[in-house]
Amino acid sequence: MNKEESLTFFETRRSKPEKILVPADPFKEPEIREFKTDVLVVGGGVAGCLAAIAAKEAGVEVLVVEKYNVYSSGDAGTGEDHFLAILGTEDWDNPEEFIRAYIAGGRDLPNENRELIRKFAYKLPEITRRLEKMGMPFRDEKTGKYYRVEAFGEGHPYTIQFDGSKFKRIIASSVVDHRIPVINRVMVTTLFTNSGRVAGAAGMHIGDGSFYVFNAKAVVLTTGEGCRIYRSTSGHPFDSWHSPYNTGDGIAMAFRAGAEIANIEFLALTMCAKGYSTPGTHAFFGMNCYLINSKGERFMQRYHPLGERAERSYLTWGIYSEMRAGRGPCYVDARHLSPEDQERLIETLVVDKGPFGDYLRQKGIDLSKEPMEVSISEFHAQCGILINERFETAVSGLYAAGEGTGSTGVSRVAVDGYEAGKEAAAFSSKVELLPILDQDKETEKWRIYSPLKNLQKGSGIGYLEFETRVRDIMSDYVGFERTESSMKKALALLEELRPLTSRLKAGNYHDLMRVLESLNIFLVATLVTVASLQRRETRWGGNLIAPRGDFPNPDPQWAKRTVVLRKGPAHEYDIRFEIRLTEKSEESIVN
Amino acid sequence: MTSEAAKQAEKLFKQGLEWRGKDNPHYGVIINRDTCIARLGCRNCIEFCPGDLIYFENGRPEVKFLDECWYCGICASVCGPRAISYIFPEQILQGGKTGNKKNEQPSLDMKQEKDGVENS
Repeated sequence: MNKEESLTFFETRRSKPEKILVPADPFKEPEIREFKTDVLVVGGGVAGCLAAIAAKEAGVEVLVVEKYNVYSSGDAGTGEDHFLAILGTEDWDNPEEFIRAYIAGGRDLPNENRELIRKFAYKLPEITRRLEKMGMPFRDEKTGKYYRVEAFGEGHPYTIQFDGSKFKRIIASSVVDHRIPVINRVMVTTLFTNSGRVAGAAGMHIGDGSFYVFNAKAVVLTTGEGCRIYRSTSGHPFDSWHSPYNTGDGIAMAFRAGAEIANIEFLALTMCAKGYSTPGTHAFFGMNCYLINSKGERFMQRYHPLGERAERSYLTWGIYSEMRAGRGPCYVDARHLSPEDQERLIETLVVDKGPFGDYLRQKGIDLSKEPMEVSISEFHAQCGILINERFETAVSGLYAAGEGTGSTGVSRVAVDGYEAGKEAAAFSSKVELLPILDQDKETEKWRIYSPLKNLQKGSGIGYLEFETRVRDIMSDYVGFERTESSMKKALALLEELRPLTSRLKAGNYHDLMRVLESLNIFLVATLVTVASLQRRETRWGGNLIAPRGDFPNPDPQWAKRTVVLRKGPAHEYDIRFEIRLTEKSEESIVN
Repeated sequence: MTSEAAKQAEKLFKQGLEWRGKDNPHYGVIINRDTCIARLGCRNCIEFCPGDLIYFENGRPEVKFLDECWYCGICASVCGPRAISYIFPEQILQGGKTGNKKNEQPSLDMKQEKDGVENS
């Protein structure tokens, strides 16, 4: 690999051509660039970066492919204000107690592999130390101590609240320090398999449109969750809680490659400022803010004994229930905090998303004088790729970690990413490189670039129009009140939309990327609908919820059942489902 | 948009002190043209935008896909001279403006709070 390809921003900046938007020529044959590596990491978020570091440390060749820029992409790109950690400072500050509190607080996802939780707890101290060594400012600048808070049903103040506005940049710098090659601005669109094992991946450069082919022994998918499948509270399509540029590419790719998809009916949502989908819930309740309804009553005690410190899904369920009971809108109240705490709250809120301060100012809200109206954000598909305790998917050589596999919270994502990288490296050192079939490459190349030709034909539709229709169907029929008949209608409407997938058009490579994203959005939306139709109950856990209007209560029978989806042989949208019984054995949790 | 921010934005825009998207001059990612150092070779906002929205055009950074922006604040945080600011679109700001604000503002006193708990 030449130097220009392999290195990141700072080193290639001078030699790089200016970034200009050019119209794409549909008749030009794209330039093909091929790469060979041991471990290919798709997605350069927190999980991806740590997976790459782990693989590199294991001594194999690793390559990171990122859709935008590894320094700023992903959900953590905007900054991170809290990190769940085990430091061993108090008597509760150990993995055993952490697991106990984790399960007791309802933070585990329904049907979650308990071995994964155990791995998380026992590897967390190491990851915390490692991040701190990278230069993460976990300690408070003024006092030199850790500022630890408790929220989301953690049971003890495990969370470090810190100024992580450079969180992602510090991790990305560590990737560069490890001399790991990173390819930015390449959207990976498909995975190649050969005789049942993963052989590599292909993608497109969103700047010049060249076709990238990666031949790898093992692939780690860390592309994140599926956002943009539901309407946001403001109706602005990109105003989502998590990064709107994470469109479930990994979930879609894994499904197309034959991996199993599980629990995708569990959707993530949070409380957010009305209109502006921001993170920051943890900051509010970690700092002991109140959640009140329009009568001024605190209501969270009705829904969980921990009140506002309950896990995220209880908070959203509480807000939703208050609205339904006619006591909305709901507000978050910080008036009772001391002036120092109020100041700290604002400082923490802007760490997660910088313009939050601007938002409050422009809206004319002073948190110290008045409560701020909140609402429930849109859903996103956080679960998806089914992994076992070694982070393997159903396809040999294909690993997955981070959001998109059901991991929740940045600490969990970091630990999972690192462990998945280790497993993938161990696998890659045992096997040989498989060739990618020429036919597969040609098919994918044709698929990727066909939207450019649709523009020439003059009959195509834009990605936004298509995506909006998907979002409308999902929000209207597969939302909080979804029922059997509404979801059947949604499936019929989605099927009606399906012919449009071959008529999407794009005039430049940026729009082409959005078109490819909307295809993934469409597939993820379909998967969510198919899976939700099967689960005949309402269940929540962690920050996830699988609501049903016709079955509004949890059903103990369903506690041990997982809906698993898999691609059938007919076509891309031939979705087969299976309801699998999982055994939750409590003994296996603690050593 | 609230009147304060709108007036401020309108004033700066009329004075020609800011660069904005051609189609949406009233909101968005605002780049102060006096302090931007693109002329010195800085391309930070262009490179770091996680949505690939900012391109180099007419000798300056231009937000080509403003409608795809999620106001994450990364471009402002990587901007050395702090030349970037945000004016939120009405759609996002108005999300919270429901009816007469004064009447809806909840009052929290201890008695009510106690009642709320007891009712549960």
